[in-house]
Amino acid sequence: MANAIVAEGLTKKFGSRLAVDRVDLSIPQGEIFGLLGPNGSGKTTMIRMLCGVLAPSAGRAMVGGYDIGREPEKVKRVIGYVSQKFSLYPDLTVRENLDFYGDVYGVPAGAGPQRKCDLIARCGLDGRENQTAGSLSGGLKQRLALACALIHQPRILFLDEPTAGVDPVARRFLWDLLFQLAQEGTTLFVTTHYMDEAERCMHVAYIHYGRLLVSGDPKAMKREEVANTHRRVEIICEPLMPALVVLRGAAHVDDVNVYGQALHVRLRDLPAARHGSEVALPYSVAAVRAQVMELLRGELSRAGIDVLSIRSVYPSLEDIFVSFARTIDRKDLL
Amino acid sequence: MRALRAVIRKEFIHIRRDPRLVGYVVVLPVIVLLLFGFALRLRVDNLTVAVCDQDRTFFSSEIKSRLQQEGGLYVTEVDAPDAVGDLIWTGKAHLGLVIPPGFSRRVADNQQTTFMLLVDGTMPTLAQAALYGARVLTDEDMADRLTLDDPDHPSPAVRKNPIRLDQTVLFNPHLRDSDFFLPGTMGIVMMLVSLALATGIVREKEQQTIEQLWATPISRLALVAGKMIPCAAVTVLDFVVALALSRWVFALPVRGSLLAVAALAALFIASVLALGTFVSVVSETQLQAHFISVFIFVVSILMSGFIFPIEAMPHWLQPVASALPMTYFLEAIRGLTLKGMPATHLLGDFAALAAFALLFGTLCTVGLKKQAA
Repeated sequence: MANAIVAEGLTKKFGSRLAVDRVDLSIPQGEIFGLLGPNGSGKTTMIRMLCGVLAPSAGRAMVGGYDIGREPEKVKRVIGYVSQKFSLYPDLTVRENLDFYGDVYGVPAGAGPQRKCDLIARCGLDGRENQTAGSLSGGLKQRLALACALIHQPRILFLDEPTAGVDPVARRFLWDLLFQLAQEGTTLFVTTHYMDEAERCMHVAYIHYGRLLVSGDPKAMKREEVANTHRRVEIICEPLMPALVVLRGAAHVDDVNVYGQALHVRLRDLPAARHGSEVALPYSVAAVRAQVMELLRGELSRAGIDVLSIRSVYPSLEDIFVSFARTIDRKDLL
Repeated sequence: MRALRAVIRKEFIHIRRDPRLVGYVVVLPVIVLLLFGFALRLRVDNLTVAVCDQDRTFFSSEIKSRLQQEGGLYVTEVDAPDAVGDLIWTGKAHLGLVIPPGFSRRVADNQQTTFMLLVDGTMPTLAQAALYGARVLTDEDMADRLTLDDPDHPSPAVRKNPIRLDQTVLFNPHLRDSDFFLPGTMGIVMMLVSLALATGIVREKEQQTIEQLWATPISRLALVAGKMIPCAAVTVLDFVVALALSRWVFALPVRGSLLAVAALAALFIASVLALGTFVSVVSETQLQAHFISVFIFVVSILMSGFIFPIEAMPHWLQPVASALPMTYFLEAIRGLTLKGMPATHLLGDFAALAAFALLFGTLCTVGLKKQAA
């Protein structure tokens, strides 16, 4: 199957600041592609370039078979764009906004009314056709933006943080809709902060300071992490914050994060630990992990912390990305 | 074409649903026209002259009554010559006159007398009006009155001025200020409305709705034209209202062809809207656009000949007037209404306005960038 989106060395500089740094991408038709990354990492800049509203500084990209630098107007005919900020006309009604975009995209007059009805029903906007867009709730605004972006039945849909500030029920509704669209063959390019959303994507990439760090199938990425190292330990203890300090200073600990009442610890590369003085043979991963866990339990006890439970856990996608971001930050500091 | 129609329809909805715009479009123009029509007067009446009459005779009272009746001045009498200066200093009088003692005697002796006349020069317009009122002291008529009819001592033949004028004022025989101001006020009203309406593009920038538009295949021309056409339609309505008020409330004569007036208004609206839209294109916020528009508006009022003649401006500043659409509109509309000139004599003004509209319309379209750098 042909790729819907291909980027080669895509770069955007604002003055001397690199917002997007030599990004390579290829996204097959019909895929849900999730782009993750912290605020200011270049997600929106990427989307704006791919939508043809921002000229790249270097590199090239093909979207729907058209070059974004040379034929941006052709790109715009085959894509839909739901921007981060609500950008429809607040003083126009739901129907008037849809009519406007229908005309701007040149939706055939014959197909228009039926398509608008379908979209209103599909996006759960029925009964609100005559309400002004500005008076809609956050979730409904988002759905209207989606409806307007779908009015010309684009092959590729870009969504920039479509669920930011939207309640969980509305988020679920939106994602169900996105899955339907993907099944119908639409390619979706979604940026998000939410890891659970990323796990629903068929392909995720993590962008940090404009660099694309990892890219792949989220399930495979998790499996890989599990198979490779399985270095995640959950510790439930009292009190929590002093334990965090102790663990961050501990020899075998790479990273610690708070998860509710528990701490998630990412251990240092375990096979390497057998060269350490405290951990001896045998060196099956599970055995080494068990030894390290006992060491940590001992360290916490010596610090006067009451350890209630300590067990190994599977990493979430969030664990993977947070530790990625940390590793990069640390490298930047050096 | 469909995109253009869609933008036009959308813009009309924006105008209809914005309550502030309705005030701007309906209420303000009417208020401005009525205010300017009634209030803008260059002729100053009822200025006060402080008179210290040290003569107190029939002749001196003759002078005072003539100042009042024919000079259009209000006479306040004071006792001491010093008080004349005081009244001017405090602003209670604009002009001060001291009639010296023994004036009547000198008239009888056929001798000339020098009066002291003080003028407050703070506002030159007022000073000139006051001096114009005081001219009755020295005109021929006054000389006729200040003669003693004594058969025994016939006065020498009064030396008359060798020239007597029989003047006719053309185009505005009563020199009505409203006739002078109203044609320009119609232009002011149109500028006010169109500059207020032309902020559509910068509003889309501020609301960030333009980002969504740029992600569609809409053409820049469709956007610019689609924004300008509804504004033009509304401004045309305001022009009709302004013309009707000028005609029926202030009896402004329209001696030229009404068709030419309409064509002139259309060209003027197009040029001002194009200019306003260009401001909108180069501004990042509505506030910025408003500041620039206010600047253009003020310069258009002051430097187009609306109030002050362009001829009075220093030569090196006069090109500024040629850079304002208002200048050409004023020249042409005064020609069409007051002078009844045929449109063929005003083709230069028509062409200048058309050039403005074309230039700024093009700049708007070229200045908009669908793809940011």
